[in-house]
Amino acid sequence: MSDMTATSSNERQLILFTLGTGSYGIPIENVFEIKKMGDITMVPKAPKYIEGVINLRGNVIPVIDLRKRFGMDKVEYTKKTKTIIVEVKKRQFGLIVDSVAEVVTLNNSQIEPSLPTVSGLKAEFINGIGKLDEKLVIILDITSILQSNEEILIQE
Amino acid sequence: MVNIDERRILEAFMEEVRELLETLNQKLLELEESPHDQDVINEIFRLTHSVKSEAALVGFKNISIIAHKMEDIFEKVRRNVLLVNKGIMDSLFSAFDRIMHLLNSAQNGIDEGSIDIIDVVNPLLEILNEKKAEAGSFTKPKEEKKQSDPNVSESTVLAFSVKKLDSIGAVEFTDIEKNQIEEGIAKGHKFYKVDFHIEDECDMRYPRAYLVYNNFENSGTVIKSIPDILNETNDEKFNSVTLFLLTSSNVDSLKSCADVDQVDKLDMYEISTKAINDKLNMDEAQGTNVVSEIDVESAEEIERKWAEEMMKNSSPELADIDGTNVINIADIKKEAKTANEKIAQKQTIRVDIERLDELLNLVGELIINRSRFIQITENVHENVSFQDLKTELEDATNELERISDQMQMKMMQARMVPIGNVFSKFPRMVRDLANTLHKNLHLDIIGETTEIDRTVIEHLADPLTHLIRNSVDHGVESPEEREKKGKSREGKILLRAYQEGSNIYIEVSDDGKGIDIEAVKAKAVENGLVTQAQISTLPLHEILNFIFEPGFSTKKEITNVSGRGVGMDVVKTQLEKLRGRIDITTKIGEGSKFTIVLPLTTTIVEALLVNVDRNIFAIPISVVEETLKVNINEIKDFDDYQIYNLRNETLAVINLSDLVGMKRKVNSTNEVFIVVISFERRRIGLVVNDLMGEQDIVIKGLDDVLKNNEGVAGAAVLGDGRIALILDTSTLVKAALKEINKLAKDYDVYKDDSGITLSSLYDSLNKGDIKTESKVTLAQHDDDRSKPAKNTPKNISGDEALKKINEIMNDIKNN
Repeated sequence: MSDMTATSSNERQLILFTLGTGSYGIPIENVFEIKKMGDITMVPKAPKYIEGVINLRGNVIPVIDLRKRFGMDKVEYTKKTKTIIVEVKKRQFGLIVDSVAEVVTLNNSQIEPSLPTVSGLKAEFINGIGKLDEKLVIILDITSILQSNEEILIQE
Repeated sequence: MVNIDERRILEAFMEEVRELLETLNQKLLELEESPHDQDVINEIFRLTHSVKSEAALVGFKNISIIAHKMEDIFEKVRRNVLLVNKGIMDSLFSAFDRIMHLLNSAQNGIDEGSIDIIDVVNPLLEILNEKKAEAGSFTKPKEEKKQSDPNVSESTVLAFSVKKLDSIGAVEFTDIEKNQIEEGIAKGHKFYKVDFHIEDECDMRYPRAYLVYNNFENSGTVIKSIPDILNETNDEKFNSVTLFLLTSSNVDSLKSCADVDQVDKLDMYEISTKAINDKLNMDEAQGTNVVSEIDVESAEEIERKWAEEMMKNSSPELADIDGTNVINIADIKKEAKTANEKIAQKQTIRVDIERLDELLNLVGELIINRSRFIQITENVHENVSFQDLKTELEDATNELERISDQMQMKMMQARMVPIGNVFSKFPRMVRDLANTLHKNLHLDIIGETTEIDRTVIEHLADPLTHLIRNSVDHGVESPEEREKKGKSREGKILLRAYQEGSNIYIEVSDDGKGIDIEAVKAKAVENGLVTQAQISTLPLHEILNFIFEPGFSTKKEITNVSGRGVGMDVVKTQLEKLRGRIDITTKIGEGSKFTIVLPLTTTIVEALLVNVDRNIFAIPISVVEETLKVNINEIKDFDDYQIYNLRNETLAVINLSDLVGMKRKVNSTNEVFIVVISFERRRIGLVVNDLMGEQDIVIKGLDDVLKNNEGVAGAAVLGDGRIALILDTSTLVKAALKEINKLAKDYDVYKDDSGITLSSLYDSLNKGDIKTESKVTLAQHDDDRSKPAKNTPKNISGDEALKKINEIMNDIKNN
């Protein structure tokens, strides 16, 4: 799977999802598939944002609760709760999000560099801010989020 | 970027050359043992030759040069003109090592041509030149080489001339030779015909002719020699010799090439371009030449054709699959270099074709089996009777079980490689170490055909190296010492591998001085691993286990080989990673034996599945001693851990849920299961909610974010899709024991009237040593723990010990 930087055209396709009131996007190149919530096997003594591991067609992959990762309050899983399977540097992860909205195509002119005040996230975790009609979409840099051990907080 | 085909060629080369070198190493060692063995010599000659040409083919110049010189030496050894001695062997070994180094560097993307090789090539050249002096000594007293005046040799005046030549004459060149010529001319080299004559009275003409040939070869490329000097050795035929030479060296330096004793005439002819073209085209006109229309100006074209020709002639496997795409190997190397890209060390494995065929047959059966299942599904829809469906389903399932079992076995076998692949480097290592340490040693290897999983073998090299090094350095005494003790001067080290059940055993034993138990004890106390009082109660194997503690060395002086106290702990952790263990037996004055025990494969493991709350854990069956169903009240609570009276033995028991950091959940029936696991001959019980039975599981690695997770070795996907975490029992139990020991230490300052310390009691309990009837030795500590125990150790029964603990615990709780 290609790296997100490899996008050559001036358009970007994003998977939109929500966490609380916020709207976020992940470049579609990183997304492997979207799954309903299934059994998660808890792993003792794992980092606290790791919810556990799941069986993805015979492979055991870790699942991260993005709410926990961003220091947000825990909510009950609902029917809308989804696991987005992403692939970064040949490693697969599941990301638990409140709901998955849609796939959108943004023109590069619709994307602005990160504004920390808007996103509540450090610039290194953001790939840009997309403007969709009146809505702001925070495009996450999934690679750096997964590789960082630092605590990441989002103010809701 | 290096493209995939080119990469594949380099990879193929690396693999090929590595194999050649491995054999070469082995043969060199054999040669040292028996310097006259003609078979070995011929084999080495062949190997060096292959390495030389392989390396030249992909453009590894330096490797090729070293191999060439080695080949030259063995060419002489082969003809009994040169006899190998220790000095020569040493030079050959260092040359060999340099080739390995160059190869490794190349693999890591470093240009092997940039690494200096003069220091290893010079000794080889000296050996070759000495030989030259020796050859001369047959007819006259041995003298130092005289190269100051190339025109005048001691006994002969060399007649010399250079002429132009417009026609080559009736010499036939092969296609490869022609291409070499074209290539050389394109590079601006000149083409010479060289005639030289050796004195008629000379009785060693071939060696002299060869020397001249070799000198020319060193300053250019000899395309052809008449007579063929590489195949013809009869002195009679070497009166007059003709060489065809491509070179860019000047005439003066070429003249000195013939500066060999009793060569009396040298005529050199510079062959004109026209003569060359005539020759090449004439042959073509006769239809014998596959190369068409040569444009001498176009160097690129020639290089391409050369590469094409090389493919056809020497390396069919290098040709592109469809044969149309010609790969220029010289360019590959250049590109590989510029990209400075590491040629990924792809893991490849050679599998016996028979094994693959068997596997394929099984896949065939699997497909037939699949159609049976499809049939069953159809039958379900067609209202076939339940009884029939049941029978059919059972049958099909049984068959599937059989097929998959066999596939698993065959697949495991396919991953197996002979352990000799690792063993092969040790004879050389022992030889070098013995030389450095001035010891007389013989290494015997038994069972090198024993097969072991590929992944295991890769991680075995380091631990084995440590163990053997230790045996050579610490184990085996110096020849003098051995003589004094009445042993043979030559020490023996035995490396032995064998399979027993589902385990592989690897032994490293020596007949040296053995391990000094008292020294180990003293050191263990000194390092604070154990108290003086405790050590007297420890069994031998536990004392020996201290050797594997980090920083543990009883050797007083540090040698540059070993003795720094690093290594043995690494050996142990490495082996534990492979789910193996190591045992020591030793007898002072007679030697030591280290036995490594490894599972046959690391990817599939037979495991006991257990339940804790809703989670499933897998415990490798190899560590499980037994399982017990007990009432929760039979387990005596003992602060953070518990004890259970197992057939009158005290077993320390830990809740698995505590160990993995989950909440304890009690079954409604008050019944729990204890899984008794043994670890380094210690036993501990794990309390679990339920047992789910045994199953073969395939170990899947966990992602790096979970890698630091102590206690979990991996995960497995079960038949129903659920995931079981595989417990890393050694780490878990170690952690558990540490927990218990810490607890014991906390109470250690507590001293009751009878002078029994808890720590010694706990120790005995952990080991399960306390039996009702058996006596236990207990010692008393003062508050100042550095002082030795105050009272003489005294014996109490296990029952008393337990009672004592309960009393003490009650005391503590009440305070």
